[in-house]
Amino acid sequence: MKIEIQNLSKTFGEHKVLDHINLTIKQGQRVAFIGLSGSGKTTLMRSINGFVTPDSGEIFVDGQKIDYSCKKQLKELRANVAMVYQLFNLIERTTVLHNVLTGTLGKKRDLAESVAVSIGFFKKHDKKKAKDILEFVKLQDKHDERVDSLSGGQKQRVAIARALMQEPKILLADEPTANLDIKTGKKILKLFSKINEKEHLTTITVIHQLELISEKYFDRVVGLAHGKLIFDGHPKELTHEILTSIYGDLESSEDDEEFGDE
Amino acid sequence: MNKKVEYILWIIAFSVTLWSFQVSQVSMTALIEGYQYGIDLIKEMFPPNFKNFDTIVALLLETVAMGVWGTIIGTIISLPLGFLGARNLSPNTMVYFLINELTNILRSIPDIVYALMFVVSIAVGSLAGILAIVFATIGLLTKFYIESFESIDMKPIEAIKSTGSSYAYMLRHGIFEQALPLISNHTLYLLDHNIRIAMALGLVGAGGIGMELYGELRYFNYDKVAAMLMCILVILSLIDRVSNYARDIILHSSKHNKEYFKKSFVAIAFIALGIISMMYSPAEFASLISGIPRLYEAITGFFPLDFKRVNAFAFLMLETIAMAIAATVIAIGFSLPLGFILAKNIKVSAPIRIIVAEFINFLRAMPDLLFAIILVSVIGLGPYAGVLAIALHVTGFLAKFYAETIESIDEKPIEALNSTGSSKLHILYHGYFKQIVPLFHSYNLYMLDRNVRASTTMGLVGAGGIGFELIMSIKLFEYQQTGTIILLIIIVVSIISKVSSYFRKKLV
Repeated sequence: MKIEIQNLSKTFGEHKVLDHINLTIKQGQRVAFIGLSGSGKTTLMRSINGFVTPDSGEIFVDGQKIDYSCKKQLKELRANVAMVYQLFNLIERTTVLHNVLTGTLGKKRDLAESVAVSIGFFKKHDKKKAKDILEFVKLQDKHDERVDSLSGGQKQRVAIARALMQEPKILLADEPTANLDIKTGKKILKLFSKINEKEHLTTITVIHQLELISEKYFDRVVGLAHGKLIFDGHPKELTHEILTSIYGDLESSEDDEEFGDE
Repeated sequence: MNKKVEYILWIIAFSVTLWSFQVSQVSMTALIEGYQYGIDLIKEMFPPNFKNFDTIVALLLETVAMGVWGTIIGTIISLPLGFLGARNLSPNTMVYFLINELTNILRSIPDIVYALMFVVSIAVGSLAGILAIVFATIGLLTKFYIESFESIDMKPIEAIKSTGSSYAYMLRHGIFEQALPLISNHTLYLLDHNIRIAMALGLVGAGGIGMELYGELRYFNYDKVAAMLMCILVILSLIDRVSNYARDIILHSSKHNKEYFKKSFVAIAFIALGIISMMYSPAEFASLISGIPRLYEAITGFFPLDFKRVNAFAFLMLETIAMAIAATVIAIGFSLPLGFILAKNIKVSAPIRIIVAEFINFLRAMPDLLFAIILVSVIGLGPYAGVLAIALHVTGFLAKFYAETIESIDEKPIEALNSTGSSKLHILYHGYFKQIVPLFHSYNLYMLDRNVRASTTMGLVGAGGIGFELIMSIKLFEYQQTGTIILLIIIVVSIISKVSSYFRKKLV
C-alpha cells in the first residue's frame, strides 16, 4: 500500500513533535526513520496506524484518507497495518502459539467464530497458518513454550510472526532491534527484507543503531530533527555532514554535552 | 530510619502492648486456673460421640455449599467491579474512586456482622449465611481483582489494538489472558476462606453446622461437640490442601505442561465440590429476591443513629483494639519459634517439622470464633478468651508466612558470616534476622489489621469487646444502636487498616 503524508503537524504540550511533514512512501519500499529521541519519528509512525491523532495535515493510505474520528475505519486500517515493538509487547505468561494467533484478532469473523475466539478457541485453519509462519521465522519447535522462557531474539521473532499473521500490507517496526545485540538485530532486519521480498509489503522501521543502516536492509532513509524532515534519500547518500545535521556532532556529544534539551 | 526514632517507636510499642495486656486481662493465673477446667473439658470430649454421623455429614456438606454459593455469587459481582475499579482500566476517575471506597467500607464490616444483619432482616438459615459471605467476598475479592488487573502489562494490549482487534477480543486475549492466573488464585483462596467462615456463621443463626454446634455446646454435650469439631477440621484441612495444590498449579506451571495427573486430581476435587453445592444448595433461593426489600428495611432501620450510649461504645471499642493488639503480640510470640522450625532451610529433624506443620494447619483451619467458644468455657467470659482465640488462629497464618519468608532468605550473606567464623547465634541474628525483620513487621501489621476486625466479633460468644453490645442491641431490637456500633466498627477498622497499610508500604 502506498502512504501519502501531507503537511502533518503534531504538538505535545509545548513541544512541537511534527512540523509540516510531507512524505510519500511507495508500495513495497523499505524505509528507515532515523533521528534523535524526541525528533518525532515514533509519532510519525504511530499516526500512520492511528495511535496518534495529528493536529493538522492528512495521511492517505492506499488513496483513502484516514479519518481519525471514525473508530471503525481505524480498526480496518489497523488490520492492514502490522506493528512490531522494541519491547516485543507479548503476553509473557502464555504460549508462543497463542501470541501469534492474537495477530488474527482484527480479522472479520462470523458470529459463531467470534464467540469461539472470544472464549479462546481459534480455527484449525488459523492454527495451521500460525505454525507455518512460525516455521518461516524458524521457531517451529517452540509452539507450546511460554514466551517468558525465550531469548530476546526469539521473542522478537514471535512478535514478527504475530505481525505476519495479520497478513498486513504495511509493516511498522518501532525500534525492533534496540533491545537486541547487533548480530541478532541484523538477523531481524534480514528477516524483514525477506518478508518484504516475499509478500511485497511496505516496511517502515524506526531505528537507532546507525551501523544497521545499510542498503542491504533499506531502500530509503528518512531523517528527522526537531519535528522537521531534513533528509530523504538512499542509504548510500548518508554522509557524515547529513548525520551531523540529524544527530548533532556525534564525536563531541559524548564528552561535552550533558543530558539537556534533546 | 533514625536510631533515636527507632528507640522511641519501640518504647511506644512496648507501652501500648502493656496497656493492651492490662485492658484485655491477659494473665498467667487465669491460664493456670483454667487448666483444670481444660482437662475436664477434654475428658468430657472423649470419646467423641459419632452417633449422629449422618446428620453431621449432611450439615457439613450444607455448610460447604454455603461457602461455594457465596463465593460464586460474590465472584460474579466482584469481577466487573474489579475491572472498573482498576486504575489502568477504569473508564473514569469517579468510577474508580467510588468502587475503591465502596469496597473499603464493605471490607471493614466483619462477615459475622453481615450474617447478624441478614439473620434479622431476612430469616434464620443458610440463605442469610450465603448473603453474608457474598457481601464479605465482594469487599475482599474486588480489592484482589483490582490488584490483579493493575498488575497486567499494558504493552501487549497496545499490540493487540494495533491488529485492529475489537474491544471484546482485546478483553479476552489481552487483559484476561494476563490477569486470569492471578484472578483464579485469589478466587480459590477466597473459596477456601469462605468455607471456613461458613462453619462459624451458624453461631449467629446463619445456617450450616455452626448452628448445631452452638446448640450442643449450650446443652454441654461436649462429646458431640468434639465429634463435630473433628469432622469440621478434617474437611477444612482437606479443602485447604486441595486449594493450595490447585493454586500452586495455576501460578507456577505453564499452560501446556504435562502434569495431567495433578490437574485431573484438582479437576475431580472441583467437580465433587460442584456436585455437593448443587445437592445441598438452599432450596429457597427465590426468597433471596423477596428478602431484598426487607434488607432495605433493615438498613433504614439503623437510622437515625442513636448516639445516646456512644461513650460506652467508644470505651468498648478501645477494649476491642486492645484485644487485637494483645492477640497480635501473643501470636508473634507463638509464631517466631514455630516459623523457624517450619522453614525448610533451617535444619530441624523431619518428624518435628511435620508435627509442627500439622499443628499450624490445625490452627489455621479452626475459625477463631470456634476457638473462642471453647476458651470461654475454659478460662471464663471476658476479653482474655477472645485474645487467646485470635492469637491461636492467627498463629496458623503468621507462622506459615514467617516460614515462607525465612525460606526466601538470600544465602550469600550467611556464607560470608560463616566464613568469618561467627557463632550460630550471631549468624541467626545478623544473617537471618536482619534480612527478614522488615517483612515480618509487614505481616504483623497486616495481622493487626485483620485482628481488629476479628476482635469486634468476639463479644458475640462472650469473649470481650464491642461484639457483646452488638448482639445485645440486635436481640433487644434496638437497631438504631446497632447502626451506631456498625458505624464505629467501620470507622475504627478503616483507620487501623489505612495506618497499617501506610507503614507496610514504608517497610517493604
